[in-house]
Amino acid sequence: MRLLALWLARFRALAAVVTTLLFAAIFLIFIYAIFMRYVMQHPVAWADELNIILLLWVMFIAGAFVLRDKEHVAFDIAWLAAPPAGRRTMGIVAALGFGGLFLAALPATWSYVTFLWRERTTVLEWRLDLVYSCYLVFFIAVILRFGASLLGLLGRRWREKVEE
Amino acid sequence: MSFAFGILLAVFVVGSVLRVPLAIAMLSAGMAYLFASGQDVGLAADQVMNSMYGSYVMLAIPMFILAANVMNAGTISERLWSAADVVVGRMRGGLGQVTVLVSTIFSSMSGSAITDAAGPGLVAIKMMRSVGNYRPGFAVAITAAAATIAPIIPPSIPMVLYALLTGTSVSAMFLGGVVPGLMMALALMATIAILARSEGLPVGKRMTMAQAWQAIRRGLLPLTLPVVLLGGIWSGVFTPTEAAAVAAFYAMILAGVVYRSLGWRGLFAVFAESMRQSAVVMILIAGAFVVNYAVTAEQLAQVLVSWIQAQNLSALQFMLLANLLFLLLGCILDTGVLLLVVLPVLMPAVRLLEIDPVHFGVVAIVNFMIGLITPPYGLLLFVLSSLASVPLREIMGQIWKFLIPLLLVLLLLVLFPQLVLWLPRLAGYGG
Repeated sequence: MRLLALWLARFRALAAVVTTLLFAAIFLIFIYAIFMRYVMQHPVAWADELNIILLLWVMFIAGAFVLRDKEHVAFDIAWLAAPPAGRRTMGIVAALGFGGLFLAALPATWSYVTFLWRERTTVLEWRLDLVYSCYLVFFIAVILRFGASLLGLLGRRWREKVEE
Repeated sequence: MSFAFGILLAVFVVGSVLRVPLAIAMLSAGMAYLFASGQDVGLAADQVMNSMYGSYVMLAIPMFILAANVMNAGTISERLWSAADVVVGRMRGGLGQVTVLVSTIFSSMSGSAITDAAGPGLVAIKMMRSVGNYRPGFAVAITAAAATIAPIIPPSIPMVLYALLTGTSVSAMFLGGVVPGLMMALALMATIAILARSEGLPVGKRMTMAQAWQAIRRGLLPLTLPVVLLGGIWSGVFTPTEAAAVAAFYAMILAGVVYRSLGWRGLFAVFAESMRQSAVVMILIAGAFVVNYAVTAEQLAQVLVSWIQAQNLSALQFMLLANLLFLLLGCILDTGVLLLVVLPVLMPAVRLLEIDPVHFGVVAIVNFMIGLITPPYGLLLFVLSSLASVPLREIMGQIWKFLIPLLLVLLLLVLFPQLVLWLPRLAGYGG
């Protein structure tokens, strides 16, 4: 269990570095495209498309592995007012209800994305199912994270989980 | 409204109360709607991915976040502070005036109220409390109110989103925000001047000419950034999206090469932080796209349009009503939800009544920014309360003093469309 936590922490740190580098790449591609257009008089057609694909990957991979739950915008007035046991119940209901909903929607989401294998992006002509697969990664991560939060809240050390 | 849409609302409300991230709550609500109406749930993925993939303008958002973070990391806020101190610092309540002035200048480089609060805002609170002995709640209230100017004076992330959702010109929106933003700044400065005596605010310290010149000189170079940024957009040299990247680049040169206050390690940290903030915003937008699909499918906007026709509402009556609605919703809803979900429902009515979309957009965004500082749900108050470690209760006791002038500005903007439209029309915007 401790080994798993260690590997998970390492994986998250790695994901944070990778998404940060991809984010920096978006910035550099912008600068490169402006440079090519005005200085070299030779616009690059692929810059816009590559940037939006990179942004999709950055946001969904970061959303899946890098962002902590409390970094997201959430309405926490009820949570802050609730006693520890109340928070535990709220967390369990949220994990069951919303994790369950995502789980139920997984098959249709999966088949939507994988069905795009024959379509390609306009300029780079990359396979659309691969480009969009970051959404599947995010989707599955949401389910796993609700699952992990459920296990934590049902476990013996639930008090630590609601103090965060 | 159908049964399925009722399910959508229920899922969203329950999720919000349970502290499920708003983005996840919106995605869930949209998928629950598709389940309940017997449609393919894969449509949610379709809405998210195709809408995001097709919105190139959206790339401006991460780049504006990056630009503001570079400026915050590169001591540019401090430099602006000392320059502004020379101009208005000596008045009674001078530090409060400086806070508003710095926020206003920073607004012309940053497009988000939260980065304005977290950057120059925190500097301001520190100075007001340590140097000026301001009460903590009062200092934070001034800062929070001043930060609402950031997305009104261009560049502006909410305006990019509005332009994206409604097909309005980003440049026209940006120009439309200039006069309203300056009005907000003047209103806040006047309020501080009026309150200075009753609040017992101290008079600022005197400076020698040499000190004053030194401070102005230190702040001069950052002031060229808005010129490059806005000049580039209005002259058509770069698109608003590219301008955002150019602004970040310019700030990096200033901070890294000219001032040498930002090294490689610092730069990586800035990229990492900007990446996280961008991901949070973008995922929120993704969630909103799914809810918007349901809102469109339910034809809520058409229902509203026929109601307006039946009531025979005039454009002005509609504007007043819409603003009252925004103010009420702004007390309890997140700005992102208002902008991304509630606003599109009203757009067909705006077109029907022949209200200029730039006027409506600027007024709505001013309104939403006021929503950021209205209790009980005011994101700016939460952020500043936690960053400055001042209890929310103390801030909420003071914030109303600054809500009044901002609401007056809002009313003026509703009544006199020319205040918004004068500058865009001068630059050749039709409409």
